[in-house]
Amino acid sequence: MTASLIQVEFLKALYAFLKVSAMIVLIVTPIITIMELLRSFHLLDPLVTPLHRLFAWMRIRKESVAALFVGIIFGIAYGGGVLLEEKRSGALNRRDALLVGVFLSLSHALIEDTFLFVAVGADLLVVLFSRILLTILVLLSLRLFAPPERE
Amino acid sequence: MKDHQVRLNGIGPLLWIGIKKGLRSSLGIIKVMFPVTLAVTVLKLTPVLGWLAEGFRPFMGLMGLRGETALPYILGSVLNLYVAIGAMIPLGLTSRETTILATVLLISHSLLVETAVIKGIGAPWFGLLLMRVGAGFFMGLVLSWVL
Repeated sequence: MTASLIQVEFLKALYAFLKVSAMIVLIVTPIITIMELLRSFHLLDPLVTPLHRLFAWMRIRKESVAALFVGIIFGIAYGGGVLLEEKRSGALNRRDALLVGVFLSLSHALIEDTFLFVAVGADLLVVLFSRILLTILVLLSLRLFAPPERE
Repeated sequence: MKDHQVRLNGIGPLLWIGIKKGLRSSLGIIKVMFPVTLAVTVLKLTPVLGWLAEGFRPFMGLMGLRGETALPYILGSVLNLYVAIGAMIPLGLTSRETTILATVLLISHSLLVETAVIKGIGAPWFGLLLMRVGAGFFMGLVLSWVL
């Protein structure tokens, strides 16, 4: 391969890299900024009660719903941290751990990670909804095969 | 004067803290991407990427992806999404390929670190690990058929 061809390869990669970097700064920075504000000032806390109702079909405890919600929005490290505390204190039962584990495995950091790939050029709607749909389908089938115990 | 004070005590400084954190995170992502992009560009000039592509073509092809995408797929699965994106850049993927690979990777990524968290909360981690990899592959199959 000649020297100029190698140069062309590197320039092409550099150009693509700068383009993606610019998109990340333009798209991801404002998203992280908003996330940071929401998290630091607990602005999403009032949503936990209505969400508990939304997740009622999963039949999990309200505390688990709160942690799950944090994980879905901010990422597995944050939601997981809260859940680890609960696990240590013995508040998290096996069934909650399984359901939250399935949900968080498939759907977490739904905003930041999704927009990261949008910055690279992925289709927002396809990427976001295929993930949410898949999570719901898996959880519904789990409910079918492992129905919740009666209280 | 009063206006100024209201702004100082209100949303202004908080917003500034948020913007600084946002910029720092973005730059952190870009810093991780750079060496990977560079390394994959070098790899592209050697026959190694071609061998890898040849080996993985049957598997990646099922998801409508080229053999080369095995590199960001494996790196993203084991390590993290930033590394995967760094490896995607030199490959010059089409928007269809980018969307499929993004979906697969978003479902199944950073398996080393995230499986540790799942294990920590007492969920059946090995089953969930297999489920994630399987679910990602399944979505890749579906999207290659739909898109």
